[in-house]
Amino acid sequence: MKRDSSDEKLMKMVAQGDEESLGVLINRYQKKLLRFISSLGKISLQDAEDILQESFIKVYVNAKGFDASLSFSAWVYRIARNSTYSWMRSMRARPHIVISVEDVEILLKSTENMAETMDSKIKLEKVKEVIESLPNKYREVLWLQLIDEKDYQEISDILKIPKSTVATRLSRAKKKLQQWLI
Amino acid sequence: MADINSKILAEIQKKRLEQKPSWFFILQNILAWTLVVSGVVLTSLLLSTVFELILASGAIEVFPFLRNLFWHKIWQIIPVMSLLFVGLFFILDFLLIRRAPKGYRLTQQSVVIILLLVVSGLAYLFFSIGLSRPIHNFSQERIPAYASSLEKRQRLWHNPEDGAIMGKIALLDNDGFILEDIKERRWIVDISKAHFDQNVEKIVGENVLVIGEVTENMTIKAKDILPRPGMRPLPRHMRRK
Repeated sequence: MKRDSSDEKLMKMVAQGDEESLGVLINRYQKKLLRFISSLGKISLQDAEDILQESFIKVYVNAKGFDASLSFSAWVYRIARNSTYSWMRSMRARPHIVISVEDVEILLKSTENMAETMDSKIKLEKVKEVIESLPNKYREVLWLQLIDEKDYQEISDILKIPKSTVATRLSRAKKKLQQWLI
Repeated sequence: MADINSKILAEIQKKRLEQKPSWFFILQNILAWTLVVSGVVLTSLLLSTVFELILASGAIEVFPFLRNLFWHKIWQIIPVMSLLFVGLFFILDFLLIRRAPKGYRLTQQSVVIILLLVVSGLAYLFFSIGLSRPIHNFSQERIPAYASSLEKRQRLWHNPEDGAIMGKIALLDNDGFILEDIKERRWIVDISKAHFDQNVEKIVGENVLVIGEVTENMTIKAKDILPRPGMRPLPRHMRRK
């Protein structure tokens, strides 16, 4: 029954202290969030799991403050992002990231005309290198739109920037990618 | 990875973590927006004193009479320090709005435009209902830098060479009056062809700005008698007889 409920409905129940609903939400988001957390910096799987754990504890503690006008997905991504950055600050870790080759493939397929304009001989490793070297602000929007399939409003809510800025960053990110790949 | 779920739930139970109450978040939101509103009101009040300084200084009324000095004076009557403070508060308001709940959804340009409209509208309202006057008077009495800048601004209108003399009526008769200027020099003012502004009362002690032509030593043939800039006259019923 709970497995079919919407995120927002489950969050309402979490706000009433229902830990089982929290469990359902964790199951629903853990994979995506782990991948997202790892995309933000050079973070080991163990550390990413710790950050994820901390993020969901924050979800539970702040459940009564969940703004129903936001989607749960945007809210939890925002919490995970903030937790990751504060972890990185505490570890003085640089946002140097390592992206999996599978994710690079998804990014390439989704980027307009990228596949055609690219030299077929360019190895995925090279593309991976380019994406990893993109400035954080561009990589984040690219990731959220292409890998996590978030819309502009959700990206705006996660990153706390206006929708127009999301659009600008996204177009610049794609342009940069294209420039480097051609 | 499969047991992340149970790890988190175990952690919550182990640490006996409790959820923050709803009122905490409500209070947080109220506080954030109260800060925004207070900031905007404060900035508007500050801007209203700038209006007070510019509009109530008589600058606008006096300008047409001082055409030659227009551009020179327009720069000098701008209260730079007050405007700097308004600017600082404006930036603070901008940051408060951007940090307020959902403030990030507004673009920088729209925040600036909304702030400009609201702050200038409120400032004009405060100026119109006279709220800026007590702040202006308070600052004049308590802040020496403010008072001295006012004094300097008032002196800008005193230019006997250009036919502008500021002072108060010391002695009055039918053909004219004796004007004691702000440097305590006495001038004979010929008012036979002078036009008196409706806010000026022909009484001894009235602060005025005489516009005209200096004809001979310490004599001026007045064309216009205006209220002294920076001294908005009190309503007639409130003046001392």
